[in-house]
Amino acid sequence: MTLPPLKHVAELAGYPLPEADLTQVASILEGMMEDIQRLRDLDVPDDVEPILSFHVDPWEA
Amino acid sequence: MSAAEWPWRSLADAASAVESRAVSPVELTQACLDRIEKVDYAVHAFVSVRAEGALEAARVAERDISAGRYRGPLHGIPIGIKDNYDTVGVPTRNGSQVFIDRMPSSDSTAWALLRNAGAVLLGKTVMSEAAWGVDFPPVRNPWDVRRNPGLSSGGSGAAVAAGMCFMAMGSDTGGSIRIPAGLSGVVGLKATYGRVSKAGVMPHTWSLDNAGPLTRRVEDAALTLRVIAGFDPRDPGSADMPVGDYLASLKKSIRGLRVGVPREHFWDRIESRVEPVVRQALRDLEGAGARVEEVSIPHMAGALGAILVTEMASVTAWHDTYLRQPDRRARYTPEVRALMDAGKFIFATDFLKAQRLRRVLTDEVRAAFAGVDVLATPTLPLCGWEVSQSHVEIAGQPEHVLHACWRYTYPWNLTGLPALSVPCGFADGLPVGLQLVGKPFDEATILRVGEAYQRATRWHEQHPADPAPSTA
Repeated sequence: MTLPPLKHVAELAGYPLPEADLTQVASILEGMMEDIQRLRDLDVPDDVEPILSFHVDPWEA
Repeated sequence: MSAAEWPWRSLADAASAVESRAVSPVELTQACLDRIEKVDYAVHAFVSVRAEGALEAARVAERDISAGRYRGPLHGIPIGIKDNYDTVGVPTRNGSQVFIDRMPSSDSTAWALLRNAGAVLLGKTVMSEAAWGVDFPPVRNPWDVRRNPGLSSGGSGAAVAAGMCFMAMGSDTGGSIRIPAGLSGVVGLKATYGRVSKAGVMPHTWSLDNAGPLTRRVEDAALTLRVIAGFDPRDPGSADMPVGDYLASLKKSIRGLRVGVPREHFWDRIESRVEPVVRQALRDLEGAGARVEEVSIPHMAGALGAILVTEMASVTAWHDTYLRQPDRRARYTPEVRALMDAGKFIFATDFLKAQRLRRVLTDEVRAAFAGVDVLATPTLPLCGWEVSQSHVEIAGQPEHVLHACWRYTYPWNLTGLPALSVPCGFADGLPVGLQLVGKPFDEATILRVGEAYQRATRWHEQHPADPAPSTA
């Protein structure tokens, strides 16, 4: 992961970071990419809505 | 019994003795303070100890009990509380220099309930910074002070394991009650999401955070849950559900009770010294009358990405205000600051995919529960690692300890189910935990199975030797 595109994303996010901090961020994101890609690759049925307000419902017996 | 022996007894035993006036809250509190004085120079479980305040609270409890105003099993019992619970009069720093001067103006609901039940606050326990990262202050595992006691409620687990208090409160976003419980050889309970109020507990990830106890016995966790469980309008995630009689459920047999063991994920990458200990624990459950069978949760292996993006985005969103203030930003440790910065780069589409996967997982887990009453898994795939280690090797592959340690616990934060870790033996002298998972709001059944397991095995009765003076 190279720094220039990351720098642009940081600016888009309104969160400009010095190069040293961006380097650390790049390292962390690289370490996570495999797991995030696995999440992206999972098939989720079209009718599944995200859980945005998390509550657990009791299950019927 | 001598005063020095009390800190090793269960909370339930201490409560009975307090009620019958066989021991006074002042004696119990002094005995715990003596333990802290004796071993915390090497364990470093407490970030602050309020000896005078604790003794004064114990004296008040003693007077109340003598006057016939006994409030219940927590009355006069010395406890510790993690540094992210708001406690009026005691700083709440979230393990971070960013909040070094933070003095709460109101109590967290959990502490207010415990205080009203008569519990005596010994002090605040050490946690990893903002419940994030691994490079946390010098808490050590009482079983081997060269090793990590588990994060992020490591101070709470170590304090209980080393006999410095009868119970300590922790918080659990991906396993931070159960992980220190497993590594430190104590009991850790994460109830159903919403069962215990998290109001006044500094947030980590709103939709995953839980407050709960670490204790030396399952019965002690049940006693504590009875006090802290219940609806709280201060917590938007709080559940308005009836609170059970958890103690009554402990007495029931588990004969014929069905225990499901997930086929996927939980046995894929586990230390060869840990797996046989947990397999034996499953056989012990069978020996106690349970029926053990395999179940399937197919999407479990893909869930790591879901919790990663959920946590990364949520932690950064809460800390954003502080990250943007140069003087505060500089006070985060570089490791934690970098993790929080990285949270700015989580895409909304990935976050929403994660929340959709949580629904899929919940449906799959519900299907897995169709034929069983509880699930059983290892709590962790590894034992306590040395504090200098950032990576471990499991099944021949190097892995960051953060990735490894929460592998078996975070699924139950994503799905919100109650989960209990109980000590189930040792590998190379280090504790191993068995995790029991229940249906929503069915804490009673996992506590019942945990209690039956303890009756059958008695691993929970072992405690570590005091650290040698050279380990200071």
